[in-house]
This record gives sequence, C-alpha cells and structure tokens, in this order.
Amino acid sequence: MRPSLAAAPTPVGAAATLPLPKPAADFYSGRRKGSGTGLADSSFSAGLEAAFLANRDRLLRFLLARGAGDAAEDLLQEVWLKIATGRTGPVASPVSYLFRIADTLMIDRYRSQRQAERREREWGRVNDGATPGVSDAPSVERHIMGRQHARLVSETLAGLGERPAAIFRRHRVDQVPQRQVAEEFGVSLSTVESDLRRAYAALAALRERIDEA
Amino acid sequence: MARDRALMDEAAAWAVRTGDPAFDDWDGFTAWLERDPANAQAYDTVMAAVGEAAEALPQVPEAGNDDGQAATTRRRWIGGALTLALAGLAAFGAWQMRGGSHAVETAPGEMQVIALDGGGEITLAGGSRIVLGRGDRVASLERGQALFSVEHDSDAPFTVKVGEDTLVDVGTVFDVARTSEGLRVAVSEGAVVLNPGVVDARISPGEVLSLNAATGRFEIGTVALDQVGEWREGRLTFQDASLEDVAADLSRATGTAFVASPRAGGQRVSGSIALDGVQRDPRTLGALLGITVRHNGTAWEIGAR
Repeated sequence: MRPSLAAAPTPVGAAATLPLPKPAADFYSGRRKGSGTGLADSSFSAGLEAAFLANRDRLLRFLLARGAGDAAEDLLQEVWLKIATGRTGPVASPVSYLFRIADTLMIDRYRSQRQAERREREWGRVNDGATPGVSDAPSVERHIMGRQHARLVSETLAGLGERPAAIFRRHRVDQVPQRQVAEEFGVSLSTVESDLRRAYAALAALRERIDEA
Repeated sequence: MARDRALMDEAAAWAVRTGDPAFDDWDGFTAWLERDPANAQAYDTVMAAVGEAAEALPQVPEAGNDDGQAATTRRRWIGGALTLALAGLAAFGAWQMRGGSHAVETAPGEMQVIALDGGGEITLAGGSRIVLGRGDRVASLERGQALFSVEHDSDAPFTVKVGEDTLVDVGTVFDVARTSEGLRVAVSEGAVVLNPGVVDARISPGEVLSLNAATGRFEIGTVALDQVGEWREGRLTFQDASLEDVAADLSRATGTAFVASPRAGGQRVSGSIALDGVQRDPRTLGALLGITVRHNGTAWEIGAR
C-alpha cells in the first residue's frame, strides 16, 4: 500500500516526457472548446477549467516560487491535462484544488529526482565494491535500508509521544482531514496542527541525518 | 544551524497547513516561497520526508506491540485514556512489582561507572543513588545526578524515572540531576522526552530542561555540549542556579559538605569551576561565583554577598 497525498498518479520525469507541444497562446482555450474527452463529467470539468483559465498567472507564479524554474510552463500544462482528462468529482474549492495539483506535481518531481540520485549513489557503491555477479546486492541493501528507515520513523514518532504519533498516522497514513482528527482525539485543531508540525520537523531532521550518514 | 532549524520549523508549519484539504491560503504560501528560494527547498525536504515516512509506517508495527497498533490506537484515544506512551513505561510498573532490580549508591566525592547489560553505561555522580531494572533499560534516579550513555533500542527505550517524572531516550547521551526544585536534564547526543504522552517536552542536543516538580513548570535553556557531564572531569558549570543546588552539587562532587545559607534569599549564580581547586580551598568559590563562603562548624555555608 502506498498512500499518496492526492489521488493523482505520480508523474515520473513528467516534464521531460510530455508528448504535447509547448503551450501556444490559445492552447488552453483550444482545449476548453474541444472538451470532448468523454472522461470527465463536463460540469465539474468545466468549472475547473474556468478556474484554471482565470488563475493561470497565479498558478504559474506559484510554480516558479515553488522552484519549478524552466519547467514551470510544462508543469502548468500538466495541471491542465489532469483536470481536462482526469476523472474529477465535485470540488469544493476549484482554485485550491488546482494549486494542490500543482503542489503535488512539485512534490512528486522532487521525490523522483531524489530517488534517481539515490539509485545512482547505490549503483556507484555496488560497482565500487568490485564483486562481479552479485547483481541483487542493491535490492537487498535497499530492502534493509527500507526496514531501518521504517524503524527510525517509528522511533522518531514514538519519541514525540503517543498523541503526536497517533495523530500523524491518522492524518498522513489514514488520510483523515485535520479537523476530523481533532474531533476524534478530542483536542483542538491547533493542537493537531502543533503535533503535526513537531512530527514533520522531526521527520525532516531524521531524513537529513540519514542522508548525511 | 539555528537558522536551519528555524527554517525547517517554518517549512513544517506550511507543510502541515498545505497538507490539509481545507487549506486555501495559496497566495500567502506563494508569498512565503517567494521570500527566499531556500524556503521552497526546505518545504520540499519536509514534504519528501513526511511522504516517505507515511509510506514506511504501515510496514512495521509499533515497537513492543503485536496487536495491531494502528487499529487500536484510535479507539484507545477516543476512549480518552491518556495513558503512558511507550511500552517500556507500562513495563516499569510491572518490573517494580516483580522486584527484579538492583541499586547502586555512591558516597559524596565518589563517582562510579555502571556498565549496562546490552551496552552503554551510566556514570553516577557522588552522593547519588540509582535503581536499575528490566534488563538495565529502566533506571530510577532516587538521589543525585547521573550521566547516561545508552544505546537506543526502539523495542525497549531507555527510561529514567525521577520522582513522579519520566524521561525516555530517543537518542543517547544525557545528564540527569535531581535538584531542590525537581530535576534537570541536559542532552549532548540524541534526544530525551520528558513525560511522554503527558508533557512531551523534547530535549535536543545542547538543550537543558529544568523542571519544577511541584508546579510542573519547566524551562528549556541551552548548554554547551562539552558541559554535559563535565562533572566527570572535575568541573561544574552553573547557570542561574539556586544556592541550594550549588551546595548540593558541590557536596556530591567533592565529598565536602556545603549548605546554602538560610539567608541566601533567592540568589542565583552562574559560573564554571574546577573542583580540585575547591577541594583544596572551598573559599575560592567566593570569588568565582560572587558569593560568601564560611565554615559554620559542620559544613561550608555559601550565601549571598
């Protein structure tokens, strides 16, 4: 099971492999007029598309601030493709939804880059070892590292105390919204936020320690 | 380093907010990102770490718990049982009842290193008493001060009881002292959590927590890493310490009796002193800490100048 933040699939190297041309000035409006993909419910999709067109500049600015650099336009196009072709249920706040897609794209992009870097490092390490024929070494090592990582994560969360650890699980593993988590635990929303902040900071620090090791 | 941490905390705060479906302040978030390119990097670091952690979690059940922690945790919380967090703490009570423990005690001026089963050691300061149990993974500091260098094990976190308070290690090297008010914990490696599930105060390397056991109030200050456990090398550093605590620490460390003058008032002192000098002539303390030192017939009395 791999819970992910959004329902959107993970694009690996999406910006580079996108088969579509660079967006022309009328690219988005052209898509909108032709909205006959048949996949999306036209009313939801139309609402999102309208929101996209009205907020295109804000989204682009967000992607640039988020560190997208030269890929910002490509990623914006990706956001568009997700709403134009994806199956989308009713969205309470279309604008928020669009920003969230953009943010998720950036998160996935960063993670796939990191994974590629890690694979490269592992590959280098295995080949430095000069043990020809031991081709399964990297996967074994990765498996062990995964177990160790899981253990370290558990320890780190346990170190924060039971409530923050349980709240983190409920929100991030079970994907329960923060307000509902607050109700379930009988604490205020700000307590949930504060517990999560501590958990996030601790996990980021853990990750940095692992990377430095 | 301090800046990094502040930045990470800021990024964590945004990550918490953006991670919730109810979040809608995307312009505010954009403005924060635009303030510094490092902000986006920090946010990415946090989000990647959190995502990886969430994916790693279901693979491993909680330490010391084989009944499906993820499923039961919520029910227990809904039931409102704010009980102790870690399996080790529950085990502490059971261990006490079984009586499977041994005590180590030092005379003032003495110092003892206790090797622990399964690795690690405790250095017990003079005039101190500690009770060890449960495979040397639980210690009760009944009196005095001790420096813990323990190997962390998530299946059996090292737990220190100080009166009614509990410390659980998340890492490894920390110094615990009973004070006139309660307790003081300084961490040089890893981290320690005070009263998990209740107070949840986390003490990180370079931090020192002072707890007033009566009021439950605590303060976290900073301490130089090399000052943690420095008493082993014959040096004591006081930071805004009461004269009662100074007298108690000095008595333990030197084996010479020190007391605070009844007229000391609430005076607090700071300073770092080498113990051999004090042992040779206790009166040198006066100049070092800005206090009066006189012998009252049974002990060296230190007081406000």
